[in-house]
Amino acid sequence: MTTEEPAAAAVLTIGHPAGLHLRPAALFVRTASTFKSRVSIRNLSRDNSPEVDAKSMLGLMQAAVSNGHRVQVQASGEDAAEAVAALERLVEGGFAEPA
Amino acid sequence: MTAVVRGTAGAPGLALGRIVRLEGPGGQPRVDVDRSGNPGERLATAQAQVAAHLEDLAAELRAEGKADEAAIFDAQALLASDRALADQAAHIFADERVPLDEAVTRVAGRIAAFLAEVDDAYLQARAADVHAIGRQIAAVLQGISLDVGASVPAGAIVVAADLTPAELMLLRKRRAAGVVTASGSITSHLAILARALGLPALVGIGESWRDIPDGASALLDATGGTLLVDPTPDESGAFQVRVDVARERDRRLAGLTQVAASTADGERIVLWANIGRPEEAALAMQAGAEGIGLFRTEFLFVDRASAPGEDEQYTAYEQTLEAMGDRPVIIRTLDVGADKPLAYLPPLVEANPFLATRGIRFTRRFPELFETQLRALLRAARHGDLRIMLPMVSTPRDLAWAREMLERVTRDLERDAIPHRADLPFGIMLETPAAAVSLDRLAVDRQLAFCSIGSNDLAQYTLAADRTDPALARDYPYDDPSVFRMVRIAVQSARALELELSLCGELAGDPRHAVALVGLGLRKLSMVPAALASVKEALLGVSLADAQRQGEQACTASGQ
Repeated sequence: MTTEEPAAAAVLTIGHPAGLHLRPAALFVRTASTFKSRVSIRNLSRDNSPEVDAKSMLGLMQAAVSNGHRVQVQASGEDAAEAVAALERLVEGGFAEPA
Repeated sequence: MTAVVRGTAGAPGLALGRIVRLEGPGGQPRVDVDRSGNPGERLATAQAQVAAHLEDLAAELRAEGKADEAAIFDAQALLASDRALADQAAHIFADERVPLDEAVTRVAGRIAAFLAEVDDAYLQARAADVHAIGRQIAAVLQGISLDVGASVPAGAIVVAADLTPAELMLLRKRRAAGVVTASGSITSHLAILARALGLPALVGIGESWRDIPDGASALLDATGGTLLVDPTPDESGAFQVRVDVARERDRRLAGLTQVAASTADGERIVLWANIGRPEEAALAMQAGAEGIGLFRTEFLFVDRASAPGEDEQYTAYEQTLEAMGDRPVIIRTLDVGADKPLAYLPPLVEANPFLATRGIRFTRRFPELFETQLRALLRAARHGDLRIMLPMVSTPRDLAWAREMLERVTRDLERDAIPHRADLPFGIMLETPAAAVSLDRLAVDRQLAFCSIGSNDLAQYTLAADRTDPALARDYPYDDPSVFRMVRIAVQSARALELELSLCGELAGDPRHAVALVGLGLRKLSMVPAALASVKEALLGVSLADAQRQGEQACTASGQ
């Protein structure tokens, strides 16, 4: 990460009965992809879990996020704060499908 | 000679037909591909083509009202156009000088292998999704049509190492009679989709798939989990009869799902469903359930590293209530014991877990678990007709303890001005003989709004026989007359106390036993959604007087 860029981060607890799997992960990827910033996540509940691209389904799958896991979300770029806030809302809203 | 192949019932159903083997890309039509272009662009084009194909299938399912299954294809389409897949494949292509399709297959294989090792059954099953995507993109790069079904005639039983959900959709279009795969499990998307499409699927048959000859005639019993290859004429004849009977029965039962249940002479019976996950509520509604008579909450607590939080639980309860509208949803609080240890709690060392700290006794031992669950329940109760049910209550002390906790949680929520509902019906599972003969003591001071007989545990504790031991279960069956007598005792005292009584357990899901239970006086039965229509049919065919006779017989029959 370059230091001049705005950055934001948050730790979220995934509360979806199926964990961060295919369908909730798809929502997560779609939400992250609407922002220009680079967005990454790391699963804090698994040892040695890699930092992965939050705009990639395969990336999220490699984080192996199960129900109740804590993940660190990091964004850097002009809309970093908005990106983290949007993902926070998605997770805290229990991955409600947008109407 | 008839050969029998065994596997897992991925999607139930019967089919009789000829085997068609799908062995990879060999039989599929080829199209010319231009391999001269820029590899990055070729890959991007192939990814876009697969994604568009999957999006079409999603649209097709959505048009049929199968939104949940459509979402499988939405997610796969996103996976197909994934940029990490493109990046990693481009790296392998450049560094290792392998063909582009091989590079894609390797990336998918690597990620699938990683997923297969994760300690989470759901993620393990997603390995198949990643494989499927890799295979489809590789096929397009090789110039192989995605239309796998082209060589499959109507009525075929398709045998393959694996099938992608997209391939299953195409096979349905070709009117295949059923599918058999070497890989796959009950939770694989292939199985979920096959169930939604009503296509019989036998999955997980393993290496034996190689020995099934192309063109052989076969009998697929996906309900029982077997495939009979080269059957004798007698076997085929008997199977055809089963197919006809099942088809006729399905037609009859489908017409019953939205009919209210009653006896032939109009005694109204309420049928509810037992579920174990929020997403099963929709299934229960489709099957005609008038409510949820038992929502098991263990799925929230098991197979994980830490206890579920209040918000996570709230979401699960709220989802279920929303799905059921204004229909009742009876949620049972955590029901575990030493036989199902939770990783985040100190283990209990007990000589006999089934007679030890389980159900309410377990939550009395770990009250913080119960407190969090109650808070989530009281908050969620604003979204529907939620009722709380406590497992394994056998004495008034158990109940008094739970009521005290309820009052404390209510006070806390009020103090913090957190929106909730406190006037919920509070009931118990009736599953010990102690509770069955003590309803008057338990219901004192209107402490109790309802009871539901948990017939599986009640049978186990009445007969003092472990129901997980097959030999014991045979000699001391769950439908022993002593169990029906216990039910009769409970019905009589509930009636005297004007206490609402229902029954959830395997007894209710067996049409013959359901009739006997109604005969003994029960008017609310809760069962697996799949049993609702056949129980309804049995009730509609019997008068109350006949049911009463069958109820008395069930209490006296010896050695069934």
